[in-house]
Amino acid sequence: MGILLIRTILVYIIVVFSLRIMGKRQLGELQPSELVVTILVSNLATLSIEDTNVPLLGSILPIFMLVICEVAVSLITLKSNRARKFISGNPRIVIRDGVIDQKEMRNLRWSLDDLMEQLRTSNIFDINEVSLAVVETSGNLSAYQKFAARNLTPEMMNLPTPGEADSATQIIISDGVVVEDALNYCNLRPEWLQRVLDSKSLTVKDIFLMTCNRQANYNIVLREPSRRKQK
Amino acid sequence: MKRIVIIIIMLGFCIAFSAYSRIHTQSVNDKISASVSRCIDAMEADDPDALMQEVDALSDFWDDEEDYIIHFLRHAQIDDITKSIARLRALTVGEDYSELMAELDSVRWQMDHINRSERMIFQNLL
Repeated sequence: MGILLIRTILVYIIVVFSLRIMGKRQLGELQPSELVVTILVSNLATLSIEDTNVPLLGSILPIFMLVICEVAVSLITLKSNRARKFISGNPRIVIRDGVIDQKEMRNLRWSLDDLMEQLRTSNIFDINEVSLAVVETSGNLSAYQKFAARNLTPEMMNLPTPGEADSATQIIISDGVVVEDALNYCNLRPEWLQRVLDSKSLTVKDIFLMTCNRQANYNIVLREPSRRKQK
Repeated sequence: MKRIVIIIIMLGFCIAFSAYSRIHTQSVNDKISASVSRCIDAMEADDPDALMQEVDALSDFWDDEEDYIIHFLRHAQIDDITKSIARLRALTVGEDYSELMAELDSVRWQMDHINRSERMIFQNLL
């Protein structure tokens, strides 16, 4: 039983390492080849955990080989358009100017329910609002709304907007610990943080969460009293 | 770039380990086959001391090799050979030569079967 536990930990480490090597794409939307690799890796990983008769390397080596294939394929598809189309397929347009392309729907084997469901996840409830809808190679639907149906934006109203980078907030204190990188990102110095804390008679340990942006607009969430005592 | 380097290292490891396992299995098979032949020769020459010596040599060789080949062969296959080899000494002491002959043959056949199933040939790929 102990062997089984150690094998499980080793296989876990190998699978996590393998997924890290394959990159973040593996963790989000999967392309067909990535889906195949993920399914195979999970099956291979269970093989040596379930059956102690199988040498651990009998699972690890095939997982490594799949990772090698996957990275090789992703490199090839990065360089070659033709290879990318062959392996991942093409995005398909299913709605043009509010008109559904029924032939494409049949090719994709998508029902109207599938289409409507995907549109609703994009907050679109009327096909007439869609200017263009594309089924991506990952199987997700990307919809571009007609101008008249789009949400009003500050740009449309010619309203002044702060710079995007300036308005993005960063966590500068997380659970009583200062995040130096975030402080640097906001172009703020530790002395500024100390001044803010002193003005409120707080220490870093009293703070559960402190967010801030480059304009030095900050927000503080205090630690709950019981946890403050523990610290 | 870092990822490509890791992939190349992984590929190198996979190829090296596969080659090592193939060469090692072949070598173990050859040595076991030779050792079994020597046991049979000693048995046919009716030389119990030489037979006992050869059986002990075979057992010792297997004890050492088992620790290595267990990393790339199914444990059940190895266990079958270990069971057969464990019986050899008792059969030699008991001078049950017909049974000993059958057991030696079984050891040789099982190792040969493992070796054949590991060969890089088209039949094994299918």
